[in-house]
Amino acid sequence: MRFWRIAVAFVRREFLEDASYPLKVILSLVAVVINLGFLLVFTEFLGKTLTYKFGGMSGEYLPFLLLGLSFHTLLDTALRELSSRVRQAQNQGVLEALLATKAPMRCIMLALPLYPVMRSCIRIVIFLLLSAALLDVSLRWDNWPMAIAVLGMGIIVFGALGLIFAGLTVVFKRTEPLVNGFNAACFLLSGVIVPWEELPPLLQSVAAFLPLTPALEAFRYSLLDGSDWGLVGPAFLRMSLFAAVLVPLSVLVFRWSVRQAMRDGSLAQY
Amino acid sequence: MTDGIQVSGLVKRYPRNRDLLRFLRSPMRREFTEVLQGIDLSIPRGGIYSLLGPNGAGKTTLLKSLAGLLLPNAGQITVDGVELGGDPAGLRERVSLAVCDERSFYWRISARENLRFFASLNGHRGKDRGERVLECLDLVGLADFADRRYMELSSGMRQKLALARGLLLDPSILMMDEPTRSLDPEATLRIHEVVRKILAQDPKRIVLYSTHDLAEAESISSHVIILRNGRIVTQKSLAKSGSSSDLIYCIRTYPVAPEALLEALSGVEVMGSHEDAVTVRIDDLTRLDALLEQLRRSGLRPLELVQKHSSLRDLYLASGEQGE
Repeated sequence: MRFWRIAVAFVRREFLEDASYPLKVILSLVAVVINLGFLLVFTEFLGKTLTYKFGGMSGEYLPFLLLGLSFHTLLDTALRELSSRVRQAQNQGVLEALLATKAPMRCIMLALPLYPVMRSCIRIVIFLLLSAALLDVSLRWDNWPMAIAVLGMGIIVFGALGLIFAGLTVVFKRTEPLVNGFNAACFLLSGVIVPWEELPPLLQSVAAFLPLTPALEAFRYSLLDGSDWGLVGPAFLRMSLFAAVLVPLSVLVFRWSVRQAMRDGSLAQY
Repeated sequence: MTDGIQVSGLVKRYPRNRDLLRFLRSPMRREFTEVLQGIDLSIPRGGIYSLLGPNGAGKTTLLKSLAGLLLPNAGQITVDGVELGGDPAGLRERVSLAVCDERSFYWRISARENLRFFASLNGHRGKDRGERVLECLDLVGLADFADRRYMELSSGMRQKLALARGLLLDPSILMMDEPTRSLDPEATLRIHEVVRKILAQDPKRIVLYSTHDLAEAESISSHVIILRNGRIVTQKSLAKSGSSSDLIYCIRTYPVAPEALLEALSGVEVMGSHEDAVTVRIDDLTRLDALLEQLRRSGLRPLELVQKHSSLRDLYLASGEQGE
Protein backbone atom coordinates (compact mmCIF):
# COMPACT_ATOMS: atom_id res chain seq x y z
CA MET A 1 0.00 0.00 0.00
CA ARG A 2 1.37 3.40 -0.92
CA PHE A 3 2.33 5.71 1.92
CA TRP A 4 0.90 8.83 0.33
CA ARG A 5 -2.59 7.31 0.20
CA ILE A 6 -2.45 6.62 3.91
CA ALA A 7 -1.04 10.10 4.51
CA VAL A 8 -3.88 11.69 2.53
CA ALA A 9 -6.44 9.70 4.57
CA PHE A 10 -4.93 10.94 7.84
CA VAL A 11 -4.64 14.55 6.70
CA ARG A 12 -8.22 14.57 5.37
CA ARG A 13 -9.61 13.04 8.55
CA GLU A 14 -7.75 15.48 10.79
CA PHE A 15 -8.79 18.41 8.65
CA LEU A 16 -12.45 17.36 8.98
CA GLU A 17 -12.03 17.02 12.74
CA ASP A 18 -10.38 20.43 12.95
CA ALA A 19 -13.06 21.98 10.79
CA SER A 20 -15.68 20.67 13.21
CA TYR A 21 -14.28 23.13 15.74
CA PRO A 22 -14.76 26.42 13.87
CA LEU A 23 -13.74 28.48 16.90
CA LYS A 24 -10.43 26.61 17.15
CA VAL A 25 -9.45 27.64 13.60
CA ILE A 26 -10.31 31.26 14.35
CA LEU A 27 -8.50 31.20 17.70
CA SER A 28 -5.32 29.77 16.21
CA LEU A 29 -5.24 32.71 13.78
CA VAL A 30 -5.88 35.07 16.68
CA ALA A 31 -2.93 33.44 18.50
CA VAL A 32 -0.62 34.30 15.58
CA VAL A 33 -1.81 37.93 15.73
CA ILE A 34 -1.34 38.06 19.52
CA ASN A 35 2.20 36.68 19.18
CA LEU A 36 2.93 39.30 16.57
CA GLY A 37 1.48 41.95 18.87
CA PHE A 38 3.90 40.94 21.59
CA LEU A 39 6.79 41.07 19.14
CA LEU A 40 5.62 44.48 17.95
CA VAL A 41 5.72 45.80 21.52
CA PHE A 42 9.08 44.09 22.01
CA THR A 43 10.41 45.75 18.85
CA GLU A 44 9.11 49.20 19.79
CA PHE A 45 10.65 49.21 23.22
CA LEU A 46 13.71 47.04 23.00
CA GLY A 47 14.16 45.45 19.63
CA LYS A 48 15.89 48.25 17.83
CA THR A 49 18.52 48.59 20.51
CA LEU A 50 19.41 44.90 20.57
CA THR A 51 21.70 43.31 18.08
CA TYR A 52 23.14 39.86 17.56
CA LYS A 53 26.53 38.57 16.47
CA PHE A 54 26.63 35.06 15.21
CA GLY A 55 28.84 33.04 12.86
CA GLY A 56 30.33 36.10 11.22
CA MET A 57 26.90 37.73 10.82
CA SER A 58 25.51 40.61 12.81
CA GLY A 59 22.41 42.75 12.76
CA GLU A 60 19.10 43.50 14.47
CA TYR A 61 18.05 41.01 17.07
CA LEU A 62 14.39 40.71 16.05
CA PRO A 63 14.86 38.74 12.77
CA PHE A 64 17.32 36.49 14.58
CA LEU A 65 14.74 35.80 17.29
CA LEU A 66 11.89 35.33 14.81
CA LEU A 67 13.75 32.64 12.89
CA GLY A 68 14.81 30.94 16.11
CA LEU A 69 11.27 30.84 17.46
CA SER A 70 9.84 29.66 14.13
CA PHE A 71 12.24 26.78 13.71
CA HIS A 72 11.86 25.79 17.34
CA THR A 73 8.09 25.61 16.80
CA LEU A 74 8.72 23.00 14.13
CA LEU A 75 10.94 20.94 16.43
CA ASP A 76 8.39 21.28 19.21
CA THR A 77 5.59 20.07 16.91
CA ALA A 78 7.57 17.08 15.66
CA LEU A 79 8.71 16.11 19.15
CA ARG A 80 5.39 16.49 20.90
CA GLU A 81 2.82 15.73 18.28
CA LEU A 82 3.86 12.21 17.32
CA SER A 83 4.17 10.98 20.87
CA SER A 84 1.06 12.85 21.99
CA ARG A 85 -0.89 11.47 19.01
CA VAL A 86 0.22 7.95 19.84
CA ARG A 87 -0.83 8.52 23.42
CA GLN A 88 -4.11 10.10 22.35
CA ALA A 89 -4.77 7.10 20.08
CA GLN A 90 -4.05 4.79 23.04
CA ASN A 91 -6.37 6.82 25.28
CA GLN A 92 -9.13 6.87 22.71
CA GLY A 93 -8.75 3.18 21.96
CA VAL A 94 -8.17 3.96 18.28
CA LEU A 95 -4.61 2.63 18.17
CA GLU A 96 -5.66 -1.02 18.08
CA ALA A 97 -8.28 -0.29 15.45
CA LEU A 98 -5.60 1.41 13.34
CA LEU A 99 -3.15 -1.45 13.76
CA ALA A 100 -5.88 -3.96 12.90
CA THR A 101 -6.07 -2.50 9.39
CA LYS A 102 -3.95 -3.57 6.43
CA ALA A 103 -1.84 -0.40 6.55
CA PRO A 104 1.76 -1.11 7.59
CA MET A 105 2.55 0.14 11.07
CA ARG A 106 5.46 2.30 9.91
CA CYS A 107 3.16 4.15 7.49
CA ILE A 108 0.58 4.75 10.21
CA MET A 109 3.22 6.15 12.54
CA LEU A 110 4.67 8.42 9.88
CA ALA A 111 1.21 9.63 8.88
CA LEU A 112 0.05 10.35 12.45
CA PRO A 113 1.93 13.65 12.93
CA LEU A 114 1.73 14.76 9.29
CA TYR A 115 -1.20 17.10 9.69
CA PRO A 116 0.14 18.98 12.71
CA VAL A 117 3.57 19.29 11.07
CA MET A 118 1.93 20.65 7.91
CA ARG A 119 -0.15 23.03 10.01
CA SER A 120 2.99 24.09 11.83
CA CYS A 121 4.87 24.77 8.56
CA ILE A 122 1.97 26.86 7.27
CA ARG A 123 1.84 28.77 10.56
CA ILE A 124 5.59 29.45 10.36
CA VAL A 125 5.28 30.82 6.82
CA ILE A 126 2.29 33.02 7.80
CA PHE A 127 4.14 34.18 10.91
CA LEU A 128 7.25 35.11 8.93
CA LEU A 129 5.30 36.81 6.14
CA LEU A 130 3.24 38.85 8.62
CA SER A 131 6.40 39.71 10.56
CA ALA A 132 8.04 40.92 7.39
CA ALA A 133 4.98 43.00 6.51
CA LEU A 134 4.09 44.41 9.93
CA LEU A 135 7.38 44.54 11.82
CA ASP A 136 9.58 45.60 8.97
CA VAL A 137 11.73 42.53 9.32
CA SER A 138 13.93 42.03 6.32
CA LEU A 139 14.53 38.42 5.37
CA ARG A 140 16.30 37.08 2.28
CA TRP A 141 13.26 35.56 0.58
CA ASP A 142 15.25 35.23 -2.66
CA ASN A 143 17.16 32.41 -0.96
CA TRP A 144 13.96 30.35 -0.44
CA PRO A 145 15.19 27.14 -2.16
CA MET A 146 17.99 26.87 0.41
CA ALA A 147 15.55 27.62 3.25
CA ILE A 148 13.13 24.96 1.98
CA ALA A 149 15.98 22.41 1.80
CA VAL A 150 16.96 23.20 5.40
CA LEU A 151 13.33 23.05 6.50
CA GLY A 152 12.92 19.65 4.78
CA MET A 153 16.04 18.23 6.42
CA GLY A 154 14.84 19.67 9.74
CA ILE A 155 11.52 17.84 9.37
CA ILE A 156 13.37 14.56 8.70
CA VAL A 157 15.67 14.95 11.72
CA PHE A 158 12.95 16.14 14.12
CA GLY A 159 10.50 13.57 12.76
CA ALA A 160 13.01 10.81 13.57
CA LEU A 161 13.38 12.21 17.08
CA GLY A 162 9.60 12.35 17.38
CA LEU A 163 9.39 8.70 16.34
CA ILE A 164 11.90 7.71 19.03
CA PHE A 165 9.86 9.49 21.71
CA ALA A 166 6.63 8.02 20.28
CA GLY A 167 8.13 4.54 20.53
CA LEU A 168 9.05 5.16 24.15
CA THR A 169 5.49 6.43 24.74
CA VAL A 170 4.07 3.16 23.36
CA VAL A 171 5.99 1.19 25.99
CA PHE A 172 6.35 3.55 28.95
CA LYS A 173 3.16 5.62 28.39
CA ARG A 174 4.25 8.80 30.17
CA THR A 175 7.29 10.31 28.47
CA GLU A 176 6.34 13.97 28.80
CA PRO A 177 9.18 14.76 31.27
CA LEU A 178 11.71 13.39 28.78
CA VAL A 179 10.21 15.30 25.85
CA ASN A 180 9.92 18.49 27.89
CA GLY A 181 13.51 18.18 29.15
CA PHE A 182 14.92 17.62 25.68
CA ASN A 183 12.80 20.43 24.28
CA ALA A 184 13.93 22.85 27.00
CA ALA A 185 17.59 21.91 26.45
CA CYS A 186 17.20 22.63 22.72
CA PHE A 187 15.42 25.91 23.43
CA LEU A 188 18.08 27.17 25.81
CA LEU A 189 21.26 25.77 24.28
CA SER A 190 20.74 25.57 20.53
CA GLY A 191 20.55 29.30 20.01
CA VAL A 192 16.83 30.01 19.80
CA ILE A 193 17.10 33.20 21.83
CA VAL A 194 20.85 33.52 22.44
CA PRO A 195 23.55 32.59 19.87
CA TRP A 196 25.11 29.41 21.12
CA GLU A 197 28.58 30.91 20.61
CA GLU A 198 27.79 33.18 23.55
CA LEU A 199 27.33 30.24 25.92
CA PRO A 200 30.04 28.94 28.29
CA PRO A 201 32.35 26.34 26.62
CA LEU A 202 30.80 23.40 28.50
CA LEU A 203 27.29 24.28 27.33
CA GLN A 204 28.60 24.90 23.81
CA SER A 205 29.88 21.35 23.65
CA VAL A 206 26.46 20.09 24.82
CA ALA A 207 24.77 22.26 22.18
CA ALA A 208 26.92 20.64 19.47
CA PHE A 209 25.10 17.35 20.14
CA LEU A 210 21.63 18.85 19.79
CA PRO A 211 20.11 18.61 16.30
CA LEU A 212 18.41 22.01 16.56
CA THR A 213 21.83 23.74 16.70
CA PRO A 214 22.94 23.09 13.09
CA ALA A 215 19.34 23.39 11.87
CA LEU A 216 19.01 26.91 13.28
CA GLU A 217 22.44 27.83 11.99
CA ALA A 218 21.60 26.73 8.45
CA PHE A 219 18.14 28.34 8.54
CA ARG A 220 19.56 31.66 9.70
CA TYR A 221 22.39 31.60 7.19
CA SER A 222 19.87 31.12 4.40
CA LEU A 223 17.19 33.62 5.46
CA LEU A 224 19.17 36.26 7.39
CA ASP A 225 22.28 36.41 5.32
CA GLY A 226 21.18 34.86 2.03
CA SER A 227 24.34 32.78 2.24
CA ASP A 228 25.22 30.32 -0.46
CA TRP A 229 26.08 26.66 -0.11
CA GLY A 230 29.60 27.52 1.12
CA LEU A 231 28.24 28.78 4.46
CA VAL A 232 25.03 26.74 4.74
CA GLY A 233 26.78 23.53 3.62
CA PRO A 234 28.71 22.61 6.82
CA ALA A 235 25.62 23.08 9.01
CA PHE A 236 23.50 21.18 6.50
CA LEU A 237 26.07 18.38 6.51
CA ARG A 238 25.86 18.16 10.30
CA MET A 239 22.07 17.97 9.99
CA SER A 240 22.51 15.15 7.47
CA LEU A 241 24.75 13.31 9.93
CA PHE A 242 22.07 13.62 12.59
CA ALA A 243 19.55 12.28 10.03
CA ALA A 244 21.84 9.38 9.12
CA VAL A 245 22.03 8.34 12.77
CA LEU A 246 18.53 9.22 13.96
CA VAL A 247 16.41 7.86 11.08
CA PRO A 248 17.55 4.21 11.32
CA LEU A 249 17.69 4.49 15.11
CA SER A 250 14.10 5.74 15.24
CA VAL A 251 12.92 2.85 13.04
CA LEU A 252 14.69 0.35 15.30
CA VAL A 253 13.40 1.94 18.52
CA PHE A 254 9.87 2.16 17.22
CA ARG A 255 9.81 -1.40 15.91
CA TRP A 256 11.20 -2.68 19.20
CA SER A 257 8.66 -0.63 21.17
CA VAL A 258 5.64 -1.91 19.27
CA ARG A 259 6.80 -5.52 19.49
CA GLN A 260 7.41 -5.05 23.20
CA ALA A 261 3.92 -3.58 23.66
CA MET A 262 2.41 -6.46 21.66
CA ARG A 263 4.31 -8.91 23.84
CA ASP A 264 3.24 -7.16 27.07
CA GLY A 265 -0.31 -6.67 25.81
CA SER A 266 -0.06 -2.97 26.58
CA LEU A 267 -0.65 -1.60 23.09
CA ALA A 268 -4.02 -0.14 24.00
CA GLN A 269 -3.23 0.62 27.61
CA TYR A 270 -2.68 4.13 28.82
CA MET B 1 -3.44 -26.94 3.60
CA THR B 2 -5.94 -26.92 6.49
CA ASP B 3 -8.75 -24.43 6.10
CA GLY B 4 -9.88 -22.40 9.07
CA ILE B 5 -8.07 -21.57 12.27
CA GLN B 6 -5.61 -23.94 13.94
CA VAL B 7 -4.09 -23.07 17.29
CA SER B 8 -1.64 -25.27 19.12
CA GLY B 9 -0.03 -24.76 22.52
CA LEU B 10 -0.81 -21.02 22.63
CA VAL B 11 0.58 -19.39 25.75
CA LYS B 12 0.23 -15.72 26.60
CA ARG B 13 1.68 -14.10 29.67
CA TYR B 14 1.23 -10.50 30.75
CA PRO B 15 3.75 -8.78 32.99
CA ARG B 16 2.21 -7.52 36.22
CA ASN B 17 2.22 -3.79 36.73
CA ARG B 18 4.33 -2.66 39.65
CA ASP B 19 4.13 0.52 41.65
CA LEU B 20 7.21 2.67 42.23
CA LEU B 21 8.08 1.11 45.61
CA ARG B 22 8.06 -2.44 44.27
CA PHE B 23 10.05 -1.34 41.24
CA LEU B 24 12.71 0.30 43.41
CA ARG B 25 12.87 -2.77 45.67
CA SER B 26 13.66 -5.13 42.80
CA PRO B 27 14.07 -3.32 39.48
CA MET B 28 15.03 -6.41 37.49
CA ARG B 29 12.32 -8.71 38.79
CA ARG B 30 9.31 -9.17 36.54
CA GLU B 31 6.22 -11.09 37.53
CA PHE B 32 3.82 -12.51 35.01
CA THR B 33 0.21 -13.61 34.85
CA GLU B 34 -0.42 -16.48 32.47
CA VAL B 35 -3.65 -15.59 30.71
CA LEU B 36 -3.64 -18.32 28.05
CA GLN B 37 -2.23 -21.61 29.26
CA GLY B 38 -1.58 -23.74 26.20
CA ILE B 39 -4.63 -23.32 24.00
CA ASP B 40 -5.29 -26.00 21.40
CA LEU B 41 -8.09 -25.15 19.06
CA SER B 42 -9.32 -26.08 15.64
CA ILE B 43 -12.06 -24.10 13.94
CA PRO B 44 -13.12 -25.38 10.55
CA ARG B 45 -14.67 -23.10 7.93
CA GLY B 46 -18.29 -22.03 8.19
CA GLY B 47 -20.34 -21.16 11.25
CA ILE B 48 -20.81 -18.82 14.15
CA TYR B 49 -18.60 -19.81 17.06
CA SER B 50 -19.37 -18.33 20.44
CA LEU B 51 -16.42 -17.91 22.70
CA LEU B 52 -17.82 -18.22 26.20
CA GLY B 53 -16.19 -17.78 29.52
CA PRO B 54 -16.29 -15.78 32.72
CA ASN B 55 -14.54 -12.43 33.08
CA GLY B 56 -10.79 -12.85 32.93
CA ALA B 57 -10.99 -16.24 31.22
CA GLY B 58 -8.81 -15.00 28.35
CA LYS B 59 -11.42 -14.43 25.61
CA THR B 60 -10.16 -11.02 24.52
CA THR B 61 -6.55 -12.13 24.71
CA LEU B 62 -7.33 -15.11 22.49
CA LEU B 63 -9.14 -12.94 19.95
CA LYS B 64 -6.35 -10.36 19.89
CA SER B 65 -3.77 -13.10 19.49
CA LEU B 66 -5.71 -14.52 16.56
CA ALA B 67 -5.92 -11.04 15.03
CA GLY B 68 -2.15 -10.61 15.32
CA LEU B 69 -2.42 -7.72 17.79
CA LEU B 70 -0.63 -9.68 20.50
CA LEU B 71 2.52 -11.72 20.21
CA PRO B 72 2.21 -15.11 21.89
CA ASN B 73 4.88 -16.31 24.32
CA ALA B 74 4.64 -19.81 22.93
CA GLY B 75 2.57 -21.80 20.50
CA GLN B 76 1.48 -21.52 16.94
CA ILE B 77 -1.50 -19.99 15.16
CA THR B 78 -2.26 -20.77 11.54
CA VAL B 79 -5.06 -19.39 9.43
CA ASP B 80 -5.83 -21.33 6.25
CA GLY B 81 -2.44 -22.98 6.61
CA VAL B 82 -0.54 -19.67 6.86
CA GLU B 83 1.33 -19.17 10.10
CA LEU B 84 0.55 -15.97 11.95
CA GLY B 85 3.65 -13.89 12.42
CA GLY B 86 5.05 -15.00 9.10
CA ASP B 87 2.69 -12.90 7.01
CA PRO B 88 0.66 -10.45 9.10
CA ALA B 89 -0.26 -8.30 6.09
CA GLY B 90 -1.62 -11.30 4.19
CA LEU B 91 -3.60 -12.37 7.25
CA ARG B 92 -5.23 -8.96 7.57
CA GLU B 93 -7.02 -9.73 4.29
CA ARG B 94 -8.62 -12.80 5.82
CA VAL B 95 -8.90 -12.06 9.50
CA SER B 96 -10.67 -9.03 10.85
CA LEU B 97 -11.23 -8.12 14.46
CA ALA B 98 -14.21 -5.82 14.84
CA VAL B 99 -12.86 -3.62 17.63
CA CYS B 100 -16.12 -2.96 19.45
CA ASP B 101 -14.77 -0.37 21.86
CA GLU B 102 -17.04 2.67 21.57
CA ARG B 103 -14.05 4.96 21.90
CA SER B 104 -12.26 3.49 18.93
CA PHE B 105 -13.76 5.95 16.44
CA TYR B 106 -13.36 9.63 15.71
CA TRP B 107 -16.28 11.27 17.45
CA ARG B 108 -16.54 14.55 15.58
CA ILE B 109 -16.78 13.16 12.08
CA SER B 110 -19.64 11.25 10.48
CA ALA B 111 -20.14 7.50 10.38
CA ARG B 112 -19.40 7.58 6.65
CA GLU B 113 -16.19 9.58 7.09
CA ASN B 114 -15.03 7.24 9.86
CA LEU B 115 -15.53 4.22 7.62
CA ARG B 116 -14.01 6.01 4.65
CA PHE B 117 -10.88 6.65 6.71
CA PHE B 118 -10.55 3.02 7.80
CA ALA B 119 -11.36 1.85 4.26
CA SER B 120 -8.45 3.94 2.97
CA LEU B 121 -6.13 2.25 5.48
CA ASN B 122 -7.42 -1.07 4.20
CA GLY B 123 -6.39 -0.23 0.66
CA HIS B 124 -9.77 0.78 -0.80
CA ARG B 125 -9.66 3.80 -3.03
CA GLY B 126 -11.66 5.91 -5.41
CA LYS B 127 -15.16 4.86 -6.36
CA ASP B 128 -14.68 1.38 -4.93
CA ARG B 129 -14.05 2.87 -1.48
CA GLY B 130 -17.27 4.89 -1.48
CA GLU B 131 -19.26 1.89 -2.69
CA ARG B 132 -17.75 -0.46 -0.13
CA VAL B 133 -18.42 2.00 2.70
CA LEU B 134 -22.05 2.34 1.65
CA GLU B 135 -22.40 -1.42 1.21
CA CYS B 136 -21.14 -2.05 4.76
CA LEU B 137 -23.31 0.71 6.21
CA ASP B 138 -26.28 -0.74 4.41
CA LEU B 139 -25.50 -4.25 5.62
CA VAL B 140 -25.61 -3.17 9.25
CA GLY B 141 -28.63 -0.95 8.70
CA LEU B 142 -26.88 2.39 9.11
CA ALA B 143 -27.21 3.73 5.57
CA ASP B 144 -29.78 6.30 6.70
CA PHE B 145 -27.46 7.55 9.42
CA ALA B 146 -24.31 7.67 7.30
CA ASP B 147 -23.87 11.42 7.60
CA ARG B 148 -24.62 11.64 11.28
CA ARG B 149 -21.62 12.44 13.47
CA TYR B 150 -20.33 9.46 15.45
CA MET B 151 -20.98 11.23 18.75
CA GLU B 152 -24.65 11.57 17.80
CA LEU B 153 -25.12 7.81 17.29
CA SER B 154 -26.67 5.59 19.95
CA SER B 155 -24.65 2.80 21.60
CA GLY B 156 -26.32 0.19 19.40
CA MET B 157 -25.51 2.17 16.27
CA ARG B 158 -21.90 2.51 17.37
CA GLN B 159 -21.61 -1.25 17.80
CA LYS B 160 -23.09 -1.70 14.34
CA LEU B 161 -20.58 0.75 12.95
CA ALA B 162 -17.79 -1.26 14.58
CA LEU B 163 -19.20 -4.32 12.85
CA ALA B 164 -19.31 -2.44 9.55
CA ARG B 165 -15.66 -1.46 10.03
CA GLY B 166 -14.77 -5.10 10.58
CA LEU B 167 -16.50 -5.98 7.33
CA LEU B 168 -14.72 -3.44 5.14
CA LEU B 169 -12.19 -6.02 3.96
CA ASP B 170 -14.88 -8.66 3.44
CA PRO B 171 -12.90 -11.00 5.70
CA SER B 172 -13.36 -14.72 5.65
CA ILE B 173 -12.82 -14.73 9.43
CA LEU B 174 -14.62 -12.09 11.43
CA MET B 175 -14.03 -11.79 15.15
CA MET B 176 -16.15 -9.76 17.51
CA ASP B 177 -15.35 -9.07 21.12
CA GLU B 178 -18.57 -8.74 23.10
CA PRO B 179 -20.37 -6.70 20.47
CA THR B 180 -23.62 -6.58 22.44
CA ARG B 181 -22.12 -5.53 25.75
CA SER B 182 -24.27 -2.81 27.34
CA LEU B 183 -26.90 -2.96 24.60
CA ASP B 184 -30.64 -3.22 25.18
CA PRO B 185 -32.41 -6.42 24.02
CA GLU B 186 -33.71 -4.85 20.80
CA ALA B 187 -30.31 -3.56 19.75
CA THR B 188 -28.84 -6.97 20.64
CA LEU B 189 -31.35 -8.72 18.40
CA ARG B 190 -30.52 -6.36 15.55
CA ILE B 191 -26.81 -7.14 15.94
CA HIS B 192 -27.69 -10.86 15.84
CA GLU B 193 -29.63 -10.35 12.63
CA VAL B 194 -26.65 -8.63 11.07
CA VAL B 195 -24.30 -11.43 12.13
CA ARG B 196 -26.62 -14.05 10.61
CA LYS B 197 -26.84 -11.98 7.44
CA ILE B 198 -23.05 -11.83 7.25
CA LEU B 199 -22.83 -15.61 7.48
CA ALA B 200 -25.62 -16.08 4.96
CA GLN B 201 -23.63 -13.97 2.48
CA ASP B 202 -20.72 -16.38 2.71
CA PRO B 203 -21.50 -19.69 4.45
CA LYS B 204 -17.78 -20.56 4.45
CA ARG B 205 -17.09 -17.61 6.71
CA ILE B 206 -16.06 -18.07 10.33
CA VAL B 207 -17.63 -15.68 12.81
CA LEU B 208 -15.97 -15.86 16.20
CA TYR B 209 -18.14 -14.12 18.74
CA SER B 210 -17.10 -13.59 22.31
CA THR B 211 -19.75 -13.16 24.96
CA HIS B 212 -20.56 -14.23 28.48
CA ASP B 213 -24.27 -14.25 27.87
CA LEU B 214 -25.36 -17.88 27.57
CA ALA B 215 -28.78 -17.11 26.08
CA GLU B 216 -27.12 -14.99 23.43
CA ALA B 217 -24.60 -17.70 22.60
CA GLU B 218 -27.37 -20.27 22.39
CA SER B 219 -29.51 -18.18 20.11
CA ILE B 220 -26.83 -17.10 17.67
CA SER B 221 -24.13 -19.72 17.40
CA SER B 222 -23.66 -23.05 15.74
CA HIS B 223 -20.77 -23.97 18.02
CA VAL B 224 -19.54 -22.98 21.44
CA ILE B 225 -16.02 -22.78 22.77
CA ILE B 226 -15.81 -22.45 26.54
CA LEU B 227 -12.71 -20.90 27.99
CA ARG B 228 -11.86 -21.01 31.68
CA ASN B 229 -8.68 -19.88 33.40
CA GLY B 230 -6.89 -19.61 30.08
CA ARG B 231 -7.78 -23.12 28.94
CA ILE B 232 -10.37 -24.40 26.54
CA VAL B 233 -12.55 -26.75 28.52
CA THR B 234 -15.26 -27.43 25.93
CA GLN B 235 -15.63 -27.05 22.21
CA LYS B 236 -18.87 -28.43 20.86
CA SER B 237 -21.41 -28.09 18.16
CA LEU B 238 -24.60 -26.83 19.78
CA ALA B 239 -26.66 -29.31 17.79
CA LYS B 240 -24.79 -32.15 19.50
CA SER B 241 -24.26 -30.67 22.92
CA GLY B 242 -27.90 -29.92 23.49
CA SER B 243 -29.39 -26.57 22.74
CA SER B 244 -32.76 -25.18 21.87
CA SER B 245 -32.19 -26.68 18.43
CA ASP B 246 -32.14 -30.07 20.14
CA LEU B 247 -35.35 -31.52 21.53
CA ILE B 248 -34.87 -32.30 25.19
CA TYR B 249 -37.98 -33.11 27.23
CA CYS B 250 -38.70 -33.82 30.83
CA ILE B 251 -41.58 -36.32 31.11
CA ARG B 252 -43.81 -37.09 34.12
CA THR B 253 -46.41 -39.83 33.98
CA TYR B 254 -49.22 -41.37 36.00
CA PRO B 255 -48.75 -43.70 37.70
CA VAL B 256 -45.37 -42.52 38.93
CA ALA B 257 -43.06 -45.34 37.97
CA PRO B 258 -39.70 -44.26 36.60
CA GLU B 259 -38.53 -47.83 36.11
CA ALA B 260 -41.59 -48.60 34.00
CA LEU B 261 -41.08 -45.31 32.26
CA LEU B 262 -37.49 -46.13 31.44
CA GLU B 263 -38.58 -49.49 30.13
CA ALA B 264 -41.24 -47.89 27.98
CA LEU B 265 -38.69 -45.50 26.54
CA SER B 266 -36.29 -48.11 25.25
CA GLY B 267 -34.69 -46.95 22.05
CA VAL B 268 -34.88 -43.27 23.11
CA GLU B 269 -31.81 -41.42 24.40
CA VAL B 270 -32.39 -41.00 28.14
CA MET B 271 -30.35 -38.14 29.58
CA GLY B 272 -31.28 -38.65 33.21
CA SER B 273 -33.97 -39.83 35.59
CA HIS B 274 -35.23 -38.45 38.87
CA GLU B 275 -37.79 -39.76 41.37
CA ASP B 276 -40.81 -39.06 39.26
CA ALA B 277 -39.46 -37.83 35.93
CA VAL B 278 -37.21 -38.78 33.08
CA THR B 279 -35.31 -36.48 30.75
CA VAL B 280 -34.96 -37.63 27.16
CA ARG B 281 -33.57 -36.31 23.91
CA ILE B 282 -35.16 -36.90 20.53
CA ASP B 283 -33.58 -35.88 17.26
CA ASP B 284 -36.78 -35.09 15.40
CA LEU B 285 -40.02 -33.43 16.50
CA THR B 286 -42.09 -36.00 14.55
CA ARG B 287 -40.81 -38.63 16.97
CA LEU B 288 -42.63 -36.92 19.83
CA ASP B 289 -46.05 -38.43 18.87
CA ALA B 290 -44.49 -41.87 18.57
CA LEU B 291 -42.90 -41.42 21.98
CA LEU B 292 -46.22 -40.49 23.62
CA GLU B 293 -47.92 -43.43 21.89
CA GLN B 294 -45.16 -45.70 23.19
CA LEU B 295 -45.91 -44.48 26.76
CA ARG B 296 -49.68 -45.01 26.40
CA ARG B 297 -49.14 -48.52 25.08
CA SER B 298 -47.12 -49.22 28.22
CA GLY B 299 -50.04 -48.10 30.40
CA LEU B 300 -48.48 -44.77 31.41
CA ARG B 301 -50.48 -41.58 31.02
CA PRO B 302 -48.27 -38.53 30.26
CA LEU B 303 -48.99 -35.83 32.87
CA GLU B 304 -46.34 -33.33 31.98
CA LEU B 305 -44.10 -32.81 29.01
CA VAL B 306 -41.69 -29.87 29.40
CA GLN B 307 -39.12 -28.84 26.85
CA LYS B 308 -35.81 -28.05 28.55
CA HIS B 309 -33.94 -24.94 27.53
CA SER B 310 -31.10 -24.90 29.99
CA SER B 311 -28.80 -27.32 28.26
CA LEU B 312 -26.10 -24.78 27.42
CA ARG B 313 -26.28 -23.55 30.98
CA ASP B 314 -25.73 -27.10 32.17
CA LEU B 315 -22.84 -27.50 29.78
CA TYR B 316 -21.33 -24.22 30.92
CA LEU B 317 -21.67 -25.06 34.60
CA ALA B 318 -20.30 -28.54 34.02
CA SER B 319 -17.33 -26.96 32.23
CA GLY B 320 -16.77 -24.91 35.37
CA GLU B 321 -16.31 -28.05 37.43
CA GLN B 322 -14.02 -29.39 34.72
CA GLY B 323 -11.98 -26.19 34.69
CA GLU B 324 -11.46 -26.10 38.45
